[in-house]
Amino acid sequence: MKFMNNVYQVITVAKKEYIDALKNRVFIIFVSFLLILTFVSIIVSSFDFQAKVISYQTALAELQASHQIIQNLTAPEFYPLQLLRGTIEYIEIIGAILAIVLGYLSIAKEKGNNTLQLLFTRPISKIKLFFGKFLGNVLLLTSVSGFMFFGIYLIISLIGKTVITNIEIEKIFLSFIFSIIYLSTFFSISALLALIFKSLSNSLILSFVIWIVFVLVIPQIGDTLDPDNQVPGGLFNKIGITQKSDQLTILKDFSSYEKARDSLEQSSFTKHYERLIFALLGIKDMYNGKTINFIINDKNSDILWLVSAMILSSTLTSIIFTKKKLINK
Amino acid sequence: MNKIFYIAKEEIKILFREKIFFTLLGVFVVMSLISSFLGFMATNTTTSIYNSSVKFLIQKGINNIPPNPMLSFGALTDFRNIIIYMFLIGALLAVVIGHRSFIRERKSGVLPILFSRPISSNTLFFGKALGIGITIFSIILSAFLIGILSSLLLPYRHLLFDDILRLIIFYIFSFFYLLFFGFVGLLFAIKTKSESLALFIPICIWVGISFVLPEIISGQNPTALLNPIAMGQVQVQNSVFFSLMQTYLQPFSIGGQYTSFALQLINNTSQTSLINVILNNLSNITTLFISIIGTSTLCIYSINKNNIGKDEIYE
Amino acid sequence: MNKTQNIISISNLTHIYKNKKALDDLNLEISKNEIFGFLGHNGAGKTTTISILTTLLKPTSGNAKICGFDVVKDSMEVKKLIGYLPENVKFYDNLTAYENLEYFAKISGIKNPKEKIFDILKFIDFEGIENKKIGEFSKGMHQRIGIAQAIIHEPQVLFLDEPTSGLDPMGIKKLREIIIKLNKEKQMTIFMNTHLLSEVAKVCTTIGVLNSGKLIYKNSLKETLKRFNNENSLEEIYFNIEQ
Repeated sequence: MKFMNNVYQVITVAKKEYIDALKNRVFIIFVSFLLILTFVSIIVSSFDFQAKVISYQTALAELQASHQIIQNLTAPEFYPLQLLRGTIEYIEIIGAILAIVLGYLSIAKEKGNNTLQLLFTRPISKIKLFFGKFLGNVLLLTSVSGFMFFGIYLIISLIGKTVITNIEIEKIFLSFIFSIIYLSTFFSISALLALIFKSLSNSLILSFVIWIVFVLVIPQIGDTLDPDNQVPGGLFNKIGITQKSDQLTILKDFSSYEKARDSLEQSSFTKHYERLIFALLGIKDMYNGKTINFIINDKNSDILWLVSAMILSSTLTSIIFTKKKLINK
Repeated sequence: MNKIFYIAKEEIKILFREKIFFTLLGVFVVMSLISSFLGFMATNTTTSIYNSSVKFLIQKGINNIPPNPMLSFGALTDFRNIIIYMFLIGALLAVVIGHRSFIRERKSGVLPILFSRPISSNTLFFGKALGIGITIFSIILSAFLIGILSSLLLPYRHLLFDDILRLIIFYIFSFFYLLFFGFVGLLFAIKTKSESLALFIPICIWVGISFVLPEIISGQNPTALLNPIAMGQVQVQNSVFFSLMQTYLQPFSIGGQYTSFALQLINNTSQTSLINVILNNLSNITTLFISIIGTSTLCIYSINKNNIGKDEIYE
Repeated sequence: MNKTQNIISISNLTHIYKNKKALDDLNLEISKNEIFGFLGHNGAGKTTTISILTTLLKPTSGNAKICGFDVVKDSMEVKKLIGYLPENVKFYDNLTAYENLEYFAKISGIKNPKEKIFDILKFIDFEGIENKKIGEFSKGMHQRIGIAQAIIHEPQVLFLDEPTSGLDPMGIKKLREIIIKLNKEKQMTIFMNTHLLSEVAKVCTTIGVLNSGKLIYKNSLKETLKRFNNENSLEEIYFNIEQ
């Protein structure tokens, strides 16, 4: 009975968070922005693919006309899930902003309106309040991602004109789950900063600094440090070392540099999310067509990072929410 | 005129007392330093890899080896990363500066007092704009000095007069690019009722300019612009859709134009003289100035129209 | 006085904030059914006292009890017995009045609050607004919703922090009527922070004056008026006490 009462109170808080956000203009603007972009991105990718097919066909026709060997020309293959690259990048960038907005609002509103004082004088423990808030917002993020991934599924099956296999559906579903974990982390970080900082606007700005560093700057640094990225078209291609095994032999002496570059990338949990999802959806070629088990096994460190980041940030937030003196008088 | 200076002076004085400003400035300065260092690291390692490859090829009996491509890049190669930091952190910093400059007035409730004095909305705007401008200028100046200093500390390449001139033009152009975002921040701080929305909208606009437009125009991935090397190679797609997008959206793609011009300035191997680089990019420069003038006009219009001070600000 | 009759009892309460004594060895007893007006200038420690009594703040030393429950040790029990309306509360402006009240009722443990919400809206003479968004409300309307949420779980004691601040004369009159009605019909004890003396004279049964964290005066309104009968108004009495 007591347990049921606790659940009831947590659900009440969660429900309020959910409804409140749905009625919030800021939130709705962001969700629409994100949804439009994901769909635009898929459509752009499919146009991009179409353009590649056309240029392949033109090249093929030209070669055939002049009776040349056509072995060197590879036909672009259609993997519908690979169209999702841009979409995933938008979840990384704008989805994270959305989660920041939610985290900020869920604390800032209560602080700014003085309702925190009301909540804390009610017979409900702080930890239940926290759980309710967390649950409500995670459900919101779940609904948004669910909506998005379902849309993705629909669009891809329409564009691809092929039946999406069960394995592909499972892969999309797993990507959906990991997206929720990724977004919840940003929710917690932004709520945490809003709790810690006296000035709410400073906390918001700081959330954006963290966002820009983790989502954009660190992955970019890792990318530009890649030696093969230093020369347009790739260093090895330029000097005629095309065999992968030869490249690896040469790079052996530079493993410590590579390790440093990798650990820099590893410090951003966005990169872990990206590596995992790119593997799942086969956007990274070496994972294309592999089984889910294989991918999960191969990417278990990324999963571990992603899940730990979420647990750590939400635990910290719950501790601050329950322990910190939030009302200074 | 004096009033404009008073407003600007006040503006800067307050900003330099805010911790959050120094936090952002710190992030930016550290990033500038890191970018020089990382550029140096990457170039060095690539050259070493090239040398190893040469040894490897000679062992295999191949003697016809192309020269080190890194050497052909010119002295400013290692500044490539700073373009990205201007593009990312610089723009965010500028949005925050513009945003704070007006939100502060609204929150403290001094706007009605200001407007009860003989100050026109033009004066108020130009005072604010001057304050924002000077602040951004000091940030750009510090980035420039750090860049020059670090290239003196890592003396593997000598900067010639032409290089320095290119750098100066790059930083001046960057100044105006950031100023544009400063004004976007200011505009929504004037217009938007809720404080958080006033920050979120400019950031969305920034995301749109930096990632969405380049993607729609070229079919590239949204973050393609973040790789300065790949950035130079964006190919125009052979498709009706993309050429349509190119025609109609290119003028609005201020982010893409900024990186493209900046890269041409920094990448002085292209044998194009500085004058030609500038001439080739006249349309990009013009677009940026039109955008700045446009946002300024909107700012003045909004100050006039909004009956500021009537509504309470919240969130 | 019989101890069980004391709804609120504060003994040797001290609170130190940023090296300053916000409350200095405060002792105060308030018995059932009183409307207690807590007077004092800004910064005297009134809100600190209310924050401790409503379990929001832990005192540095001393203790306070509500109906025999310690505000620190039995805070959950205390929370069931009190209703609180802070100064300048705004509620969730995207939700309707009904949704706001439903939320506060439910987290206070009321399972099906619908009937109760309508009863209370009727009680405070505020029907017909339940489907309006709080964001459209005036300050006076906010304050009335504030009262409604504070009494929805039928508390024993109601704490009001500067309830009339920012209200227009009509709003003040309305609020005054509600406070008296709550006290008369629902037998609620009311603890009210204020610096408006005119309010105290019209509503309160007892007054207390706080100065620099110390209680310098406490008596019934009747006695106070009697004792200072040569003064013309409560204002003058107040300044007399403060000196």
